[in-house]
Amino acid sequence: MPIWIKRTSFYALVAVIFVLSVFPFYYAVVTSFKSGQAIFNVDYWPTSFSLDNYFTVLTQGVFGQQILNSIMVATGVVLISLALAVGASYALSRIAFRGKTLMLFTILSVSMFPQIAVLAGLFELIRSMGIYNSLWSLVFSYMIFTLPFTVWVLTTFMKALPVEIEEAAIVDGASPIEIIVKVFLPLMWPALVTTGLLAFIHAWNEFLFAFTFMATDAKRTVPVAIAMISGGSEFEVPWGNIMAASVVVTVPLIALVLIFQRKIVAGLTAGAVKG
Amino acid sequence: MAELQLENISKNFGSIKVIHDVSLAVQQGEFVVFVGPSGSGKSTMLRLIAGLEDISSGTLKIDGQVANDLTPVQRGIAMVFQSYALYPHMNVYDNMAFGLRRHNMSKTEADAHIRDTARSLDIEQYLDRLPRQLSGGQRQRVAIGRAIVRQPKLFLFDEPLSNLDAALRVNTRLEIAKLHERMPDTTMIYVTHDQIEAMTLADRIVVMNHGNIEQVGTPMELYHNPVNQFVAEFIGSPKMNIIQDENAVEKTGIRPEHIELVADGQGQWRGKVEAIEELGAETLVFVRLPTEELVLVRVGDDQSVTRNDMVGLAPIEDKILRFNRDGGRC
Repeated sequence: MPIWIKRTSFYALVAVIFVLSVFPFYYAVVTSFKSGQAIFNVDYWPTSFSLDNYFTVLTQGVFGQQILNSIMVATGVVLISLALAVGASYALSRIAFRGKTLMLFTILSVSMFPQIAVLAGLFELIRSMGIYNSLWSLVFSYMIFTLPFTVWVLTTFMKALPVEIEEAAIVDGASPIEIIVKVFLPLMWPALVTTGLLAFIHAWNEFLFAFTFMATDAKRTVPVAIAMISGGSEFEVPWGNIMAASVVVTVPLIALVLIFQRKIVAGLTAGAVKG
Repeated sequence: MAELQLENISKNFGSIKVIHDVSLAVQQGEFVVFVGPSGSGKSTMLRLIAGLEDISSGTLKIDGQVANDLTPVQRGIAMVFQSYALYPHMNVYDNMAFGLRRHNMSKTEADAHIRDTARSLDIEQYLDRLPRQLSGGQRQRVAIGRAIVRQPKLFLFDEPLSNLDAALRVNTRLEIAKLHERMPDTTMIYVTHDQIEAMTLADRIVVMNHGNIEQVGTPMELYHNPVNQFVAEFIGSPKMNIIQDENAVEKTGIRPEHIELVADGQGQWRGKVEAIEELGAETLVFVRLPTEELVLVRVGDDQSVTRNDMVGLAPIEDKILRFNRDGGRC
C-alpha cells in the first residue's frame, strides 16, 4: 500500500474520532452564544456572539449555589476517598493479614453493582442516618464508587514501591504515619493526582444519586440542576440556557484534566528513569 | 559502643525454620562479617539484629540488656541497604537529616554535624542533589553518610557493595575499612556472599549455611583451620580442591596454592593438564586426574606447562586437610 494512503487513512480515522468526541461539546458552545430564535437555526460555525444565556443562567435562580454544591461534594469525595484509600492501600500492600485477597476482591466487586440496584437500600440508609437532602448524603454515597478504584490503584502503586525505602525509614525512627506522610505520599502523588481526578470527575457528573437524595433546589448539584432548567411554559425548552450551563460546568473539568495531565506525565517519567 | 549477644536465636517464617538456635557474642568495636551462600540465613540474621524482623525464640542482648522488643532506634542501630534505599524525593541533605529529627539536637548542631559527615565522605558538594542525580558510588556514600550521621552504636551493612562495578567495589571496600578505623568504638556487622570482602574487612568471620553457624573465627583461622569441608571450600579463592581417597571414605582437601607441579611420576597424584589460565602474576592450571576429578593448581608465572602435558602433583604435606564422608574434619 502506498504510504500516502496509509497516512491519509490514519488522519481520516483521527479526524472521525476527534469529531465524534468533540462535536457535541462544540455544538453546545456554539449554541450557548446564540440568542432568541437563532437557536433554532442549524449552524456549524459561530454566527453570532451573545453572552445573554450565560447572564441568565448565572443570575436567575440558584445556579451559583449549585455549582458550589458540586465543588464541595466533589472535593469532599476526593479528599476523604484519598485519605481512606492511602491508609487502606498501605495495609493491603504492606501488612500480611488473613483474608487480604478476599478483602481486595470484595472491595472490587462493590464497584460492580449497578447504581439502580443499591438505590432503594441506600435511600433508606441515608434517611436513617439523617443526611437526606444534605450534601453529606452525596459525599457518602459517591464513595461507594470512588473507594474501590482508588484503593485498587493505590494498592498496586504502593506494592511497586521498594520495601527497603520503608525499612530505611523504620531504621530512621519513623512511625507508620510518618512513613505514609513523609515517605510514601511524596512518591505517590502521580497516582494520587490520577485517582483523585477520576474520583472528582465521577462525583461531578453523577446524576442518579444526586437526583434522588436531594429534595430542594438549593441543595442540588449541577447535572441535576441543568436537567431541571425549565422555560416559561411546559412547551418551551430553554436550550440556550441549558447549553450555557453545560459549558460553564464542563470548562473547569477540562481545565483540571489539562493542567494535571502534564504533571501526571512529568511525575511518571521522573520516577521511571532510574540511573 | 555496643556489645552484642545472641543467645539461641531462632526464626521461623510460618512453619519454615530459617535460623536454628544461633548463639554468638560480638564485642564492642568489633567488625564481624556474616558470610554464606544465598539462603544461608545471613541476611535474616542481620534483620533480626536490626529489629526489622521479630525473633521467634532466643534472646538478643545489646550491652547486656534484652533487646528483642526494642525498635531499631532504641537499639541504636543504623543500616546500609543493598539498594541504598535513599529517599528518592529528598536531596542528600534531607536524606541525612531525616534520621536526626528525633535526636535531641538543635538545628545548627544538626546542620554542622551533617556537613561534617558529608565532608568526611566527600559528598559535601552533592548536598543539594537528589539521589537520581548521583552515580552508584556517590549514592553508596550517601547511604553510609545517612547511617553514620546518627552516630549508631551498632552499624549494619547488608551487602552494600553488590550493586557496584568491580573497580568501585575495591575502592569502597577500602573506604569501609577506613571508616571502621575512624570509628573504633562502633560495632559493625556486615553481610556478604563474597568471601573476599569477608576476608579483607572482618575482625571475625561468621560462616553461615542453612540457618546455622558453621564456624566463627578470624579470617586466617578460617583459611588455615576450617572445621569442615563447607568452610574450607567457601573461604579462599580459587576454592579448595577436594580429592576423594581410594577407599572412598575420606577426602583430602588442599588449596590450589599449596600444590606444586612436578615431573610426571613424582608427587602424590598424576594427571593431564586440561586448561591453563594465565592471569599475569599467577597462572591457574587445571589438571584432570585419572579418577576424572579436576584439580586446580596455582603456580607462579615462571613455570611453563602446556596443555595435554602429563604432570605430577605434590601437595605441601602440612597444608593437607582431611575430611570424613560427612564433610567433618578428621
